[in-house]
Amino acid sequence: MNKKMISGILTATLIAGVIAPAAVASETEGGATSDLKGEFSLFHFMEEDGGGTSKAFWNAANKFMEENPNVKIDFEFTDSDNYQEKLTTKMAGNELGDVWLTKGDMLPTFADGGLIQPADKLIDQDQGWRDSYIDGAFTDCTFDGTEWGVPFQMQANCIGIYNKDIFDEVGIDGWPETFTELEEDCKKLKDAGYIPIAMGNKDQWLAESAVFNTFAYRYIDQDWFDSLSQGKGAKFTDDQFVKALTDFQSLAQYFNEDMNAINQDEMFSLYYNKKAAMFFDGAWSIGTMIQNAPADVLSATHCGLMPAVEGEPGTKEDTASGAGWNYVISSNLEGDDLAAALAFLKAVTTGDYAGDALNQGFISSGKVADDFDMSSLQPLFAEYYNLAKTMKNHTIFDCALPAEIGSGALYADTQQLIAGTMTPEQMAEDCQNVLDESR
Amino acid sequence: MNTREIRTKKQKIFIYILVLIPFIAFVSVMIGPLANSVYYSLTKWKGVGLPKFIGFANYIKLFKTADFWLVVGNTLYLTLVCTLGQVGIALVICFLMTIRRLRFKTFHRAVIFFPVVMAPIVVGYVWRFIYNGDNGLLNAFLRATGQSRLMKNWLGDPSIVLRSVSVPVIWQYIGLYMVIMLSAVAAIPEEIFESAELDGCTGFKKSIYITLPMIWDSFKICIILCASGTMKIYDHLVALTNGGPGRSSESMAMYCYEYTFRYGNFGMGAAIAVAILVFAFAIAGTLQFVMTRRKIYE
Amino acid sequence: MSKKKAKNAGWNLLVNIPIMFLSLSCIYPVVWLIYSSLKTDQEFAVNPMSLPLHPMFSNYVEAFKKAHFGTFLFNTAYNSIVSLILVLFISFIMGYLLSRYRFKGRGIIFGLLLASMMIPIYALIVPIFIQEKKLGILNTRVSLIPVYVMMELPTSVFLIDGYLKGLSTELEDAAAIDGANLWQAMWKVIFPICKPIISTVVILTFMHVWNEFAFAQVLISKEELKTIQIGLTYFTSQYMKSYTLLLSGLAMATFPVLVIYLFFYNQIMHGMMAGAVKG
Repeated sequence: MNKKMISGILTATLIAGVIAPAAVASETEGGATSDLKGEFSLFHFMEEDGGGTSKAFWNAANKFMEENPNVKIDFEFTDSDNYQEKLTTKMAGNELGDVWLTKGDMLPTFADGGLIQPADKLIDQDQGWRDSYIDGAFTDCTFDGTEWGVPFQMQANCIGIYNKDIFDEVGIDGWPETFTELEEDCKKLKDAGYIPIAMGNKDQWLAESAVFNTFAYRYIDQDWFDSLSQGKGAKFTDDQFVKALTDFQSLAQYFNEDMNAINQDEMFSLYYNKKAAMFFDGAWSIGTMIQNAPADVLSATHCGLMPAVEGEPGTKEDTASGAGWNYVISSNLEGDDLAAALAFLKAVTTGDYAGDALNQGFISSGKVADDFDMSSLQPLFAEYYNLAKTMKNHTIFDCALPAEIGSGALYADTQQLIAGTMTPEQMAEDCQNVLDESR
Repeated sequence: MNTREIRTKKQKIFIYILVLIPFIAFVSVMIGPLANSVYYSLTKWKGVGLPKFIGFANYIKLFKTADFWLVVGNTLYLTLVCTLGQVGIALVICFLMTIRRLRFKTFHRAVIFFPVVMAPIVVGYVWRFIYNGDNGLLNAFLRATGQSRLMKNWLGDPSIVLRSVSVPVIWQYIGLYMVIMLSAVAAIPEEIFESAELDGCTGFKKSIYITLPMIWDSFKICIILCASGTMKIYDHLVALTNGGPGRSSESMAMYCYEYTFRYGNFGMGAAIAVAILVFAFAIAGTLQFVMTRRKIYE
Repeated sequence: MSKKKAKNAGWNLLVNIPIMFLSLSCIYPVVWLIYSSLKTDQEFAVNPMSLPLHPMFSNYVEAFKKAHFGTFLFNTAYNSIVSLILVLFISFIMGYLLSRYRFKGRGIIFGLLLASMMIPIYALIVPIFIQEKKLGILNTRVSLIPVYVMMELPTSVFLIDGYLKGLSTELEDAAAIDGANLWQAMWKVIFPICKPIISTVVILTFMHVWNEFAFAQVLISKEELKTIQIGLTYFTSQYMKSYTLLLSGLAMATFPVLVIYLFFYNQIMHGMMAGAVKG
């Protein structure tokens, strides 16, 4: 925006302020800060008229822009598949702009490089802002004891989805609570000719990030992981972790044989066609089920938590979950522009946004208003929402570990582990080597 | 050789000007960044601040990594198989285009190129359906013909996955090399074929003794294009297997992408790119040497 | 006689059947793309290979709007046509001179052209991004064209060079005797008879530039300058992709390339029809 335009708008605002003070006053009363002015750029992956997170984002963003006509936002969209590539390039070219989205594993680079400013102090300046987030919302954007970002979602990375009709047919009453039950159920399903657990791990992240990660929290706990990621003693080669790998490998016999060749969509397709009785995937798959599953499959679909393992410390509520991506603010942004950006981020992560997010089929990191009408939710999503409230959230490995290990060795090795071409001991050793080297 | 003498000094200057202006533009657009990339390969750089010079440390680390040699092996294997397959099959089709037995020539020539323009995601979908373990065409065909024991987990078995992915890649680019070589065939004067046929030189004889020598230079270029293109193979593998299981179908270009954009390790990414360049150059040099030294047809 | 006939028929089958099989397999992706693009997302998710029950032509309308095809198609066409003209002009000059004349530095030029063909583009993206930033041409109409022209140049030069190697110098020599200078001989005598290879260069360059994604993705951030390949990513939300819209968009984006191919391939084959390959 050039200076002439800004001064023009300022003059117009002044005149409006003189001529129609009543109108301005009534707007401020409505809670909107219409005197807010400023300009910032935002690099994001929220597709316009897309579904889920994108839709909730744009609903909130459009409302914000309507209420704050003097805030100018320069949106730059890149789709989520290609976002990281462009983000990395912009970083290398020092062209990042004012506000952008980032995943936890890139925080250290931004923070150590002095490219972003801490978000916690800014959030605390605004009374009540912090209280509008749910517990644990900031885990994924915390690095070195500082919260660097503003979260917008709270995704459980693992949830079990199953077809109750098939369970009934082979004589399974209800979702398994323990690992032994799960194995027994799988055996029954396999004997009846079904794929017990569908797995589509072609793109490598699904088995590790959306299944094994949560399964591992049956054997290890948050302290162990923190110690591992901060280099304070815990190692991948520790007995408990190897045990988790061993049991996970044995569970793989109940996956479809081409588990490493098909992708997530093809996995869904096995489920839609009633060839598979269940699968584990992130909570985003709930939205996909609601949108794409044939009516008879959808009505039989329910969800459950990853079963606990007998004799191990973890419970079925222990789940890898988090915000994953967060908005971060450039250290160069200040004054009015910073104020405008903060107001915007508040609008697109909390308040009405939280309720709208539920309507769009995902859980946001903002608290939902007490009077939110739950009856409008799709039954499957409501079922998940109630389960999610019981979950104990833990760090997602690939959001907190350096990428070489989190989305490098762990992904590739899990593929080999479930294919049976790598032993749990080999995998643990390889991962530990890569982790040591990344320091 | 069909070359001409440079006659006058004026002509020489004229030629240098015409060649050097675009060449300087080329160097500044492509070779400058390439040189930068070579420099990055000698540094430690996470994308923030200035790159820190560390000599050959990235290369030393790379050469000590087993995964690197695995992806080098995969890439060289694919380069060999795809070059033989793509250019070889395209050459045979070119020959067939010159003999009378083949019907529907116009149709074949038109459609064999279609896959070249198809987006990798489309090719990926179609072939992943063919290879699907559960309801794939290939396994269904084997089952129907009673060859169930040959049924395989085509894209999920590390021991055969490289062979499985090479088939779609070969299939997709036959048309490209067919068009390049056909345009050379089109330049062969009609009289040559006619007199050859009068001498009783038909069918495969005609192909080997007339067509191949006449398109030899285009054939060589196809080999070089194909080898250097396959050395950079990326999109297909992402669409078909994403490099898995493990890294058993990962290429060097994927490895380079992974380090550069997923790990933000620009120094290492650049070192891998330089390694690709060195290998590709070695291959191109060898090919050039083999194909000109023999002077089979020149 | 009948034995010979049978042998002949056997040969005919041996030649025709595999090629027919190959050709049909090459049509299938196009057919699949078209019918799949008419499905609903649910149909596609349940079975990606089945035929659509109720063809959804509205997918095309929606895809066109959602991917901003109106603007993006123009940008892609602009980039493709400008790059194509420049590539043809430059590569013919370089290809001709490098093929016909021997002068100092020829080897270095060939070597560097070859080198740029072998480097994976992902190694160039960051350096080129930084270079364009320094020059201040990021996010402009000229961000992509120099990169595209120089990326396509080596292949085109090699093709033209190889083609001319097989072509005798008689025509130019005759023209020189008639008093034509080098420039005239190049464009008036040689260029017209290079039609087959020029057509090949047109097809390849147009196809590559039209489909180019990686550079368009990073060098352009402004909506009004983005290309259709970027538009095709506009069907992807954080956790969901509308495959049928993507396929409709792909079908629309692929169509012009097929048209260009069929048109220029006729130019190549025209030479063939007149010449070598009858029957």
